[in-house]
Amino acid sequence: MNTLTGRFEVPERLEKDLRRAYVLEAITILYGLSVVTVMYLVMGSSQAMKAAWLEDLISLVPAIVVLVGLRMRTRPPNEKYPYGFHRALGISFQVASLALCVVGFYVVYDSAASLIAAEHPTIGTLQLFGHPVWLGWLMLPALAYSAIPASVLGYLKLGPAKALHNKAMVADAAMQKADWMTSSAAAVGILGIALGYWWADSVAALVIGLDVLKDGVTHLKTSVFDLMDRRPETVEGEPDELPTKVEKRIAELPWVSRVDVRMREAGQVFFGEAYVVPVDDQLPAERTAQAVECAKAVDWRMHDLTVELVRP
Amino acid sequence: MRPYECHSSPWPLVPVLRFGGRIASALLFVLSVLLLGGCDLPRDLEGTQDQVREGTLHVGVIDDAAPWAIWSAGEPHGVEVSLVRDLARQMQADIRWVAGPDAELLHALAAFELDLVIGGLERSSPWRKEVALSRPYFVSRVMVGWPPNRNAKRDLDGVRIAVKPHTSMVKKLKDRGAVPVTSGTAEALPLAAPEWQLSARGLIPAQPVLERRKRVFALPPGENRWLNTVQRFLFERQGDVPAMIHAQLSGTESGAQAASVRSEGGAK
Repeated sequence: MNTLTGRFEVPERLEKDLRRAYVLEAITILYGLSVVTVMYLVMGSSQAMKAAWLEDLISLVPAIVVLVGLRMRTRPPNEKYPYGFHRALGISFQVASLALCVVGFYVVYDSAASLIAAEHPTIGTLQLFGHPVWLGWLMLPALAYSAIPASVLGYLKLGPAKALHNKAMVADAAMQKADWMTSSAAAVGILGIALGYWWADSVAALVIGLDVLKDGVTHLKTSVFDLMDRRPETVEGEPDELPTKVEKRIAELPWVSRVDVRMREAGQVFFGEAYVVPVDDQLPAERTAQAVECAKAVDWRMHDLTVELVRP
Repeated sequence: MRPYECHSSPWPLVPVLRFGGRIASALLFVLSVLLLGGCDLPRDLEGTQDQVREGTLHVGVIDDAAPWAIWSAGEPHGVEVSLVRDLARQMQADIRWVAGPDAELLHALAAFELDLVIGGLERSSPWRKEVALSRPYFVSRVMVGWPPNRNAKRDLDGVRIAVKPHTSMVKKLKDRGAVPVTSGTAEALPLAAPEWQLSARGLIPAQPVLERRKRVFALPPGENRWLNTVQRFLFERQGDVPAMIHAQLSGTESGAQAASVRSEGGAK
């Protein structure tokens, strides 16, 4: 008797999305590393640049989590993990959200402290190829480099993420797409300093910190509630119609008198139980198998359904 | 057809079409700020440069930092002092020299009461968080200088080396296994001191480099335009510093006894 949950396969038509997801996430990580290096070099002692750099650094974590999660899907369930590895993605995304919250808190605290202390940020001048250049003029292109490709990547990732019902990837893509806002805030901060407003830098850093904190808290809530076996929701946060569809499909079978379905999400797929009241006591084993097959045919995400025949 | 596949162009081109407008407007915004702000960006947060130019330059000078800055007979002298005099000439400003202990001068700098503080400050100074430090205009390397009749050794284990007493260099030599000699002896010993000092005494500096001291100017925090001006000046004059050190040393040797005693055997 095989008690292991079935081996998970993505349907044919989504193979292309899966490949695209891999490629885009890999590019994201490599690009992210280059951005972190560039930003570190031009950071100087500007609070806004420090905040933007931390944000770029921490956004590597969701990308890595998603890539690892995509790879982990392919591991078959074994004796030790009979339910498979679908939950691994949820847990790692929760950790990533927690990291976002911590970094967000730190940036908010640090920039608020420097605002209250009325710190005047110093941005010096260095010599590039024999010409003196104000560091601020180097920060702006660095911010553009951190913003524009990120927004593009985020936009490109959103499609495959929604198709694959991968909430971690959707969150990662949405955060990247909004990256242009934090870089703009930092750029406005730098320009404010150039124009002589000492508070521009700290205020910009505060804005960036609040944005990171907001992202962290939002995704923390989502991942925690998913791990609490909440009823499935679509990537937009609406209740998913799949449980209802499965119920209707099973109810259409001739031998079914009544059916109730409950489901939960685990990573990209759904696990669930269906309680069926049959019209009579014949052929229980075959009827159970039939009900399971009908349910799985509804959607590729319906991974594991346990059908139980119960008394009315 | 899924919403994100509604375009007929290949998918890498799609972002250019969609984002082109946003990127262009962002660039336009930045350009307009820069042009409207004028070519005098970056500005000072407390207006230091405007006060200095054709006004008065208030300079705090930390004492006893030969050859960078020394007070004698109520007037400061030294390499950094000469640089500041040239800077003031460029800015058409009068100089007001202020003496005091380093803590007092740097606190005054952080409170925007002074425009500049000099006197052998190093880039690694604990004050770097309170005030703005320029980029190093000179890096003096502390090495071991050998008398001409001796072979330079890379491994200092067991070697007797002269050094100024009660300085951190004594510990550094001990860590390398050398024997620091702090009181005067008749023998011609190798000396651990900055390169410029070794050359002045006719000793030949050799590896290893025991320490790197990056000499900087201190400016008020956040005065980015003033820092930009001073920094450009330092970039221009960096090359002259070794010659200035040489001139300073030969000037003091033929000058007052007190000043030359202080600069001898001195690491700082």
